[in-house]
Amino acid sequence: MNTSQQPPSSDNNFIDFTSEKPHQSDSSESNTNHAEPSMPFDTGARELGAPEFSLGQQPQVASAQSIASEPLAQSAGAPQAAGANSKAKTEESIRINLSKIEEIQNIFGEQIILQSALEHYLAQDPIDMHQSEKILSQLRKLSVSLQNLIISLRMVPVSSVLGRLSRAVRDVATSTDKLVEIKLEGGDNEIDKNILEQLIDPLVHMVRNSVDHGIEMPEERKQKNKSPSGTVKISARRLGSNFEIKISDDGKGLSKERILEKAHSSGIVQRGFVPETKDIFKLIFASGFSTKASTTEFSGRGVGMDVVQQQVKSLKGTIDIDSVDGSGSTFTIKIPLSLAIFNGTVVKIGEDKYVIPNTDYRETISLDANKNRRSSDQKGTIVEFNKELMRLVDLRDRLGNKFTKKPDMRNIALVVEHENQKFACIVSDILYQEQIVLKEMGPETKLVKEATGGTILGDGKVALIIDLLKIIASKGIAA
Amino acid sequence: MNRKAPKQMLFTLDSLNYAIPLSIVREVVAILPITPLPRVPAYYKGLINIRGQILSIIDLRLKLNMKEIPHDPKSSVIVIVELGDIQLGLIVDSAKEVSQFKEEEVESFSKKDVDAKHDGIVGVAKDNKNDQLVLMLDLMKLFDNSEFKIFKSTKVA
Repeated sequence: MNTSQQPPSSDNNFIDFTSEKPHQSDSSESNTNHAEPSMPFDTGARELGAPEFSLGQQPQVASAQSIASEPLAQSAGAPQAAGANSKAKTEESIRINLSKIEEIQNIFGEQIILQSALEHYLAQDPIDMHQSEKILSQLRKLSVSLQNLIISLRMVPVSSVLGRLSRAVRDVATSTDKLVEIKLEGGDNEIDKNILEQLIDPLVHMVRNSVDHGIEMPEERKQKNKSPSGTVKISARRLGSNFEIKISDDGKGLSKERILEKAHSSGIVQRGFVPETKDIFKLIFASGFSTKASTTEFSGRGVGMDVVQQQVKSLKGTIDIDSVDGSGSTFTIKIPLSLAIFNGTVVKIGEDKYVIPNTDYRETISLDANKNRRSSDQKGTIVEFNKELMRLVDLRDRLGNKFTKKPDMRNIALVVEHENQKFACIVSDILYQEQIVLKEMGPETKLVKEATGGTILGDGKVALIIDLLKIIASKGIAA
Repeated sequence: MNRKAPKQMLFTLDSLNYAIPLSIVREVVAILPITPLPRVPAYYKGLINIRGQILSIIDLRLKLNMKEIPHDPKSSVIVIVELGDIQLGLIVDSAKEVSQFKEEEVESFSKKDVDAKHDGIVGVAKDNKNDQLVLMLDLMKLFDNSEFKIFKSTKVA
């Protein structure tokens, strides 16, 4: 894998890296026992007389500047190993195509070679800037492909659950004596494994409903001039950074009258009030809509649809229903491809950078104190923009550190809609958009209630991902 | 043979020596760029990126009600500790050696002795080798009464 100019121990070094923890604890033990001055981090390569190709130096040391004073270096190993043991997270596994792992290994090997070469050129006097920059740009390219690969590791094809869904369809069909054909489409599309797992139960639920309540008995279908065997179609496709799963059947469709009747009798909708067609279908998502009785006598889709919707919502997705009486219904679920990676806008608030997910705001506007009239009520300031009224939320008050307010004539704001009201959230500046990788943070960070998570920006610094809706919904924010 | 207490890592704050159990120390790193957080206690300095992991940083000087000083990049370090399932980085003035005190060298404070203000200091050790006193710090106790209420619900291994 690694080519020329490598010290003979390069393979060992590679293995050292992968088995880093036990290795370190070993070496630190031997250090304390024999009080040898050797440092656990400083392995083979240097002693081999090739300092410019110090492969043995572990990458973590290079980036984190660990203090390598002797007593500390001695101490660093043991607790680290202990930490690894205590941090036994819930073990989850994923099947990964071996070729992907090989690809990662190749990229990693290449990266090590480039790193060595870079160290070599940087060590020269004068520093060979031209070569160094060339290598740096190569390293950047490698990082991008490595990033894409690692993202793809989390992705699994939808077909992995389509099998389970068709089994559910068959089971219900058999037990209800119905004839059902299953069609699967777009199973090759990949989606984040975690999301897919959380979608399995809702999807199973929905296809069962389709067969149980949607598809008619063969005789009934014949009377309606339909083929005796009904069809349930499950299709998956990618839509930009979203994923769409459709479950459609050619059954009897949702009955508006019966849904409304049920909604009236259970008190979800006031008697006498008739909502629009789309809204009537949405009633089946209301909690308390489904009851035992409804599953037997009522052929709507009431069974636990509120749970389905909750689950989809928790994945930041949406669910829609389309139904034609007599000829079938279609449920459409839209969810982001990955919760771990999304498109975000990096904004400056005060002196600090924050990230706002692109899906959280509608548009950005520029407010001018001369053009956009402002007035205020007891709740705060209202501004008029394009003949629309928006409530002002000054994020600098809330998030800006050391921010001293001075009356400014121009403001940049993000427009957020919440409960039919528009809010203009003022930021200091909008910097750029980029792909944001959500990072795990410790529980102590919950102290910052405005944040939903953290990420690491291109400059290597941490930035908080903020939740505009939460800020708007909380009290006392109006500027 | 004298019985020995667990190994301690020594560091300094405002020219005082402090010790924490080595078993909770994960690593020691140089000061990295810190992203400040909005509306948190002054001692909660913010977040750093350590090899792609986000870590909270506490200025131990401020937490112990000492004067804030600009960090000397040559000596100030971040000591990364593990408290239960929380990892924190503590800024200290300088990191020193690892010591192991004999039992008779350590004087534990009983509950009565300790003023609420000195929360977290559970004893003092006489370091005869270097002729100095070392304050023994219990980080769980130190953070227990603070805004980090979250610590109360976490178990310590």
